[in-house]
Amino acid sequence: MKKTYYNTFLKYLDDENRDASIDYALQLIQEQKVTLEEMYLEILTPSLTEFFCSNEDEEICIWKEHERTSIIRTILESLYVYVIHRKKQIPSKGKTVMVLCPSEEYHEIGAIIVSHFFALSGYDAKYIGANTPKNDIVSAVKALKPDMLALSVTNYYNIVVTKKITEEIKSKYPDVKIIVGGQAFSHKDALSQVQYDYHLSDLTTIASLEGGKSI
Amino acid sequence: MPKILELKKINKIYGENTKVPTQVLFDIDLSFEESSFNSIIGQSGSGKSTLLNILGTLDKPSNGSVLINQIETSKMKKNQLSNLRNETIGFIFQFHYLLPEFTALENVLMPYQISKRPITKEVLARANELLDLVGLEKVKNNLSINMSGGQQQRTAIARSLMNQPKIILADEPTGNLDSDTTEQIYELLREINKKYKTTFIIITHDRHIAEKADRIIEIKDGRINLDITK
Ligand code: B12
Ligand SMILES: Nc1ncnc2c1ncn2[C@@H]1O[C@H](COP(=O)(O)OP(=O)(O)OP(=O)(O)O)[C@@H](O)[C@H]1O
Ligand SMILES: [Mg+2]
Repeated sequence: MKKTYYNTFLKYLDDENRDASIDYALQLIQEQKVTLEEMYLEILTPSLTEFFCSNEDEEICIWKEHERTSIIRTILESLYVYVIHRKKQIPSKGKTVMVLCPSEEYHEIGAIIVSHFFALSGYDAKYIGANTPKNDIVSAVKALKPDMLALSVTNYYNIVVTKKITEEIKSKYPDVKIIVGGQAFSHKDALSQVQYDYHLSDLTTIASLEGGKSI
Repeated sequence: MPKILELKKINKIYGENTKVPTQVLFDIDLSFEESSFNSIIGQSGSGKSTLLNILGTLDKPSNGSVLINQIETSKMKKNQLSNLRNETIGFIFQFHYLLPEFTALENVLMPYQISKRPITKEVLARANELLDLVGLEKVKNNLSINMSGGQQQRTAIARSLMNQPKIILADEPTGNLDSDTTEQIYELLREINKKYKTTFIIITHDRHIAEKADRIIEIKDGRINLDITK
């Protein structure tokens, strides 16, 4: 069933039909045909990660990729209304999490989704942004005093700076739990390079992290 | 995959017998797989060039061993070592050391002239083929002094390939080139890597080159700080 929703959604995306794609996705949530979690993980994520461009012309493919990302972004922003709605129905954990991507990392859709998942699990989730310089991260941790820092890294080269960030945070603010995720960590040895408390490959387990300790 | 190049417990101390010895490499263990494409990054002064020179047997470590094709090099005689080096390793540097008063083709043939090997028809054909490969078919008879920086670097790359080396060591090969030319040179190196299965170890400050390598090694204060493989 979900697969049919996905295929219909893809059809609109393939046609670059922005309005129909957004309309359809929001309707699926509105009519409770899929949950927010399913929307994020089974529809929006694969529509990007499994994006395959059959066009010979690379320029056209890049343009299509940008167009598609922008549609997904609009959907994500619109879904936040439903996130607020769900948040009201669950107790707050009283914990803050800062979600961001390190400098030069522009892939932020994963990070936005992660921030929504934290919100849905009762955290006060602050999405800081893509491409966040190391010094800004350190000062944001100092200012916001989050319980957790969630780093999303896609490009494996950015493990270099992620290592520096995690080392600095751990030495200055050892109590802040670090959660890492994203496609960069699917590379060999990437995880062993950084300091972290949790690496999650399945976002639905966010709910079972509490103040950094799994329960 | 067989290891083509291996460093075991390498230490390097400059000025060992002076009052101010400085250790720049500490217990480095590192090995490279055949036909892989590797990048080495790190801050200025971290020891990258020192490491590359030791890998290429241009410099000796204070202790530890260097294995080329599983052959331990530390006990080799000078001429044995330089033969092994000439047969297996090609070098590309930031400054290409071309001879200005010679043409691109003559520069590519220079290793043969220097070692007084005969320039046979096959050798000449190979030099021409390599110059074509690096995109210099039109300017190969120009004096190198009359070529652009990018063209000179391409000449140096062609020259490094003359001996059909299994390994190419490059120290900031695009350090003095603009970003478009850098991209082209990088594509060229990647093409050579695919075509001849040449192993590449490239020191670079250029993020765009490093991020496209199969492996990134970061040197920090003479130690390996990070090592990730795609
Ligand atoms: C959209 C996209 C872009 C967009 C990004 C727009 C934006 N605002 O985010 C743009 C056009 C900017 C872009 C640019 C580039 N891209 Co791009 N891009 C993609 C694409 C198609 C989708 C990425 C995406 O959003 N996926 C959907 C999200 C939801 O998935 P996700 O990130 O994996 O996140 C999930 C999990 O990983 C996890 N997760 C993620 N983060 C975290 C964090 C925590 C804490 C946890 C617990 C979990 C978690 O949760 C999510 C669950 O759904 C991918 C293709 C692919 N296979 O993914 C290429 C891809 C990622 N891009 C790639 C490349 C190479 C680039 C460029 C270098 C291209 C270029 N030459 O310009 C640039 C680099 C820009 C930069 N410096 O960062 C490569 C990366 C290869 C690599 N190096 O590893 C890919 C894989 C394409 C490919 N096959 O070559 N890209
Ligand atoms: N011949 C030498 N004698 C003494 N010290 C040296 C010698 N060569 C290099 N050094 C020192 O060893 C350290 C490492 O130098 P190296 O040239 O390997 O650095 P690098 O990482 O290549 O730097 P860069 O990015 O600036 O090229 C530096 O502190 C340098 O001053
Ligand atoms: Mg150097």
